[in-house]
Amino acid sequence: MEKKIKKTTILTGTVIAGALLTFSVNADARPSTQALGNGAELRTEIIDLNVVSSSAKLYELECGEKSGTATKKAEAKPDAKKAKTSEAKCGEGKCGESGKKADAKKDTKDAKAAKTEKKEKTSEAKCGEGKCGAE
Amino acid sequence: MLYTDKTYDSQKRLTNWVRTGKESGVPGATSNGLKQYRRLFRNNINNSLSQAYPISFEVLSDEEWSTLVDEFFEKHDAKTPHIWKLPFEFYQFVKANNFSEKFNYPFLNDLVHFEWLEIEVYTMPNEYPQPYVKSGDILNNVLEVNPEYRLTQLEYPVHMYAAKESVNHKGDYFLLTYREPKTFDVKFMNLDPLHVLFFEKVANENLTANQIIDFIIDQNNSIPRDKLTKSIIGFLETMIKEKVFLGYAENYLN
Repeated sequence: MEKKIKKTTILTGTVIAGALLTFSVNADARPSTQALGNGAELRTEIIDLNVVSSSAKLYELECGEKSGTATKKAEAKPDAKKAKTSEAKCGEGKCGESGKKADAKKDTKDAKAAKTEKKEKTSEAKCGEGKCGAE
Repeated sequence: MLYTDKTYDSQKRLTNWVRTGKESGVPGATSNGLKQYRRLFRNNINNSLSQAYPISFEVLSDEEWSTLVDEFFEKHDAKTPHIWKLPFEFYQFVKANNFSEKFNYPFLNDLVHFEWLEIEVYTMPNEYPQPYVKSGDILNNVLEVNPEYRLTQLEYPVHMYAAKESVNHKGDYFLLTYREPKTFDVKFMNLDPLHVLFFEKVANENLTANQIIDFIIDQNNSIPRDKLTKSIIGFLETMIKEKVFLGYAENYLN
């Protein structure tokens, strides 16, 4: 039985030619293929990278004119980040795994606590989490 | 039962208020109550999106994020009634409305795409591989590819660098996102373009490694066969270990 061919190529001729040329010129070069891990691990890592880069920027700002907001944000970000990275993404935890759900709920609570600190984005009370109508 | 024109009109006014915050003359409603409605709905959307796009949420300034959410809420007529499916429409909205240019973040489309891919692959319908066996000849047997994957080309390596740093590394990046069988973990791999070629030949044409190596050398005969073979074996072993290749296609075994 033949397998059906179902997916189309995303490579263009130029990219293929470039790849072959690169390999022919330097066959000993380490290829860029790299396993990046699962979604949660990679997300955490990328958010860390972004926090480092944005914190650096915020601290730079602090040295300049207005330090108040920058300091506040720089302090708030690590907590917010922690909560966000552990949070289940949308669509996760819907597969009947009670453990996963419990974790997701716990994380949401953490996230709530952390996000309160990030006032600009989520200063308002949470909605859709059993608080409807409450101020 | 059909709405009366009056009910329909009231409902339109209410939704207009909720989405835009602009005075819409909702009959019989108090302004305090209306504010709560808008706050509750907007928070629901914001929560759903910030959980689906945690990196974008981190990278964008508070003002930029709020602009995205507000414009999406106001201008996008959602096709889905399910809030958990909204993030896909958000991704399309960000792309279609050129926010990468508006915010001067060239990486933004790639970033939301990358974040969406995890959800897409996690929630994709099951696809089943053809029968396969675990042992075989790595160079001469057809490999069975885990069918639950998406292969995407990105211009900015937002999967490897801080988003703003990725602007300094513009190029051709190939991201393989796949769902591991049994654990349903979504995993990512950055693929070298040569390996993308190889992967696609296996996935789409059911060729053996040696057949693909022949093809590559046909294309560029200055490539040393021994070094290519060594590189490809290393790649194949990684792909098998990472469960992108599940084993050897039974249908092609002699």
